[in-house]
Amino acid sequence: MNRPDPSVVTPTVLEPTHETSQFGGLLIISVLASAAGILFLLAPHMGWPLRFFLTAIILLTMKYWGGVMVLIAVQADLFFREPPRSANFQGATGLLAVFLIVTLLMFINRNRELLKHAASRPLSSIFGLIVSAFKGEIVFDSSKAVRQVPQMLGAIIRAIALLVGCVFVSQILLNTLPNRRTFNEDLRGWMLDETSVLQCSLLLSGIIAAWIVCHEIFWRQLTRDQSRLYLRSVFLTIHHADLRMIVRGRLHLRQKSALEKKEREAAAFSCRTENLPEFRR
Amino acid sequence: MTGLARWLALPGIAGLSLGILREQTGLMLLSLSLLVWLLVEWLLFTWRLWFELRHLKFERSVNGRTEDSGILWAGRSVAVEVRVSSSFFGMGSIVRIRDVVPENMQVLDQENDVTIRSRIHSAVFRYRAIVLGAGKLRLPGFRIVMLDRQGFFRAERFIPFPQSFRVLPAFQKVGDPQPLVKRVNSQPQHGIHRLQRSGMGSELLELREYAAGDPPKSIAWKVSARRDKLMTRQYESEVPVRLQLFVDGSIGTRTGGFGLRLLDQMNFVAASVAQAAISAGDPVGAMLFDERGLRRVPAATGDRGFHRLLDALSEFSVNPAPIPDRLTNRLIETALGVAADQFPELLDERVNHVPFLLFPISPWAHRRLRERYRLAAVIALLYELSPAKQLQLVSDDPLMATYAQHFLSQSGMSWMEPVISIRNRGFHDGMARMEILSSALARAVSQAKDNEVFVVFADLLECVPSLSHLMPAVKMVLARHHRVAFVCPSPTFLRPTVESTVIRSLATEDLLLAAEQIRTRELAARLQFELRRVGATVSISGESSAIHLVLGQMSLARTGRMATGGVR
Repeated sequence: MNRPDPSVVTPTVLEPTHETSQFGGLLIISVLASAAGILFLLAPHMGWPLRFFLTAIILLTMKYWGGVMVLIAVQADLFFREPPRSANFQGATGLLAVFLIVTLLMFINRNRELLKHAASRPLSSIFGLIVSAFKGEIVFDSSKAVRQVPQMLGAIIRAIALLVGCVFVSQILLNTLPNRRTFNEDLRGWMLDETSVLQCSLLLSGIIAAWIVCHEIFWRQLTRDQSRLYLRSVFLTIHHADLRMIVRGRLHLRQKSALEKKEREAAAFSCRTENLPEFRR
Repeated sequence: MTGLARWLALPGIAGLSLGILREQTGLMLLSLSLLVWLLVEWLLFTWRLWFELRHLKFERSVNGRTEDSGILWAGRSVAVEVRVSSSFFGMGSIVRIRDVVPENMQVLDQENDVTIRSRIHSAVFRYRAIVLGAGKLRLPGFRIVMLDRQGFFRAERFIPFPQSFRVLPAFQKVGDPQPLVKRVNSQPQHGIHRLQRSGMGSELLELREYAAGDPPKSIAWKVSARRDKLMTRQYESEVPVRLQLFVDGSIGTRTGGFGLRLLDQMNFVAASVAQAAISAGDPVGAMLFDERGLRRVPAATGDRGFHRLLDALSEFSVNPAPIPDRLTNRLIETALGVAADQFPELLDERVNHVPFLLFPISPWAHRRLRERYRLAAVIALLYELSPAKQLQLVSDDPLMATYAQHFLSQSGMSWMEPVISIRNRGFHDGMARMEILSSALARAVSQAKDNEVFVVFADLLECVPSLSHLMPAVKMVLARHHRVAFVCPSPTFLRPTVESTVIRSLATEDLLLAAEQIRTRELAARLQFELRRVGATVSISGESSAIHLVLGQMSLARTGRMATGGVR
């Protein structure tokens, strides 16, 4: 067997679960700074103290909630401030803005473990980290850092490509699918025009096919034991009431026979004592 | 899907709906992009799970050996090396791999839990561990946790890679096996010792008057001339000193964690004593007894005999199927924990359904019942029980307790309380133990030769009130000129001396330890009084002092002097 040479394997590839990256400190600072930056851009009509307070609250929740609260904040801002049928998000600027927000969400969620790790430390150490970063005092293990840089670059490029694709697909979907304004017209067109019935049936078939594919993926992932357990669970769920009745009946019978046995023994003992001569009792 | 992904999807769906209703393009685009991103991540994760896990290969070597079975020693460290290899495309991030170790193994310096954060094709990780107690050790396999980069999706799998080992008890090399100081005129051959009984040895035992039939060459002519009557020389016997070990393996000696069981203490002393005896050429045999009965290991000498004895002790140390009476929450929780560790995919709610339950209303009781349903399903699947039996596990506490305990025992966990719920029943009150020990002693005496040393390793501290049942057997052994030593392990691993009862501090642990030591000391004093009265020697606690006590008895037996209770 052609075994790989263990010495070739870089020591950072397999690392203890608690160990963090070389760039951990910098990443934490960047996550916090970018999240704070985007949060400060929201709701400009609100006063600075309130914005500062809300930003601090949202940053504090990032340890457990990741980017959820940031997303809700951005959505709330869009909900209250974006005018209906606005053309602001129609072109490339809109796509870029959405791309940046989703990238920020990805950035926050990818570094959630680091945030948790940082949050477990005292606050002074985090401030100390920020100060040392600004002073340029953070010490790197150069060999480790050199190994991590290409990996990080590769991951960043893959993530950007993925998100760009997602935003474009969303844009295409939004343009293709009927919206509230055109829904009645589209529906009328589909009803009157015979080709639209075909479109509708195609859409329905697509949804059903996607549902089947999702289920098929789930089934293909099951191991043999999982499949057996699933069948067993389904059987038990269907026949639960009957089986429970049988089992309870058995247990009740067992308890009853045990009680009867005890009573029989007690009765036999009392008979024995009663038959004895009086002076022995 | 993790909670984080659900919490992201929820505002995504809500934002998309609101955006459609209010015709806000930005809100719609952002929410839809988020949902599409989640969908793409799910597809990628599913592909990884399906493709990468299938091609994941493991190779584990323990102390440099990759065989399915082998031998390890208790108390010694073990070097484990694991090689992970994957397909041509490699393993993507993030994969957590843990080599699941049983309770009998404690990981020392490195980690048996590693994380792969970047794409690799093969890797190696190493760790060192110590084996705690004798018996069997099974390394079941690897627990894999796959996560996507954002923590949206998580899958847990267990890849079986079983390796079983027989763990031989630890022992200590003690004393000088063959003393260099010459104490006799002619050095007997290895393993042969003097016995002060008339025989065909070379050492003079006594002179007596000539009796008809005595060989003429044994007549002591000079003495006869001095005394003016014929005197005959009597020589000593030369016999081997046999060591007979009696090891008690009742329930009381098996509870507690591996390495902390009373049986581990007894195994250690027994193996050390056997090693010392065998290196001096003396044959060693054993009688192993517990609730299952008595097992005899014939006396043997040499390395092969020693290893046969260790093998027998190792097999004896494997916990038999217990008979629990009561089901506790702790037992259920531990069984669930082990199931989550070794069969995580079977606890997945999507395949392990729980039927609709209205009662109990209390959320805590409801949750406990649902957990019990899940555990029952896993146990029923593993032991191939019928669906009716599976449901019976949910309603029948003793049945569930038996299966849960058995499942834990097979998974390498030590016994958990309550093994026996009430006292004064069966083996727990000591009566049954005294009876089986008495019969073992009687059987050993019936098969014994001259000059044997009987060493009884038993948890007698709890059986002091029933000690009178053992006394006839002990007296019989002593009457047959054998030596008897008792080694009673201490639950605190400390000898019950006056110093050990001193309260070190007012911390709860120290107070409890002192209280336990005071109790042990009182019991030990009563036990020593009873046994020393008839001429047996006693050592409390299974430490080196116990080994020296037994070796002292062995050396006395080798000098040929008769036992205290014996009469020449």
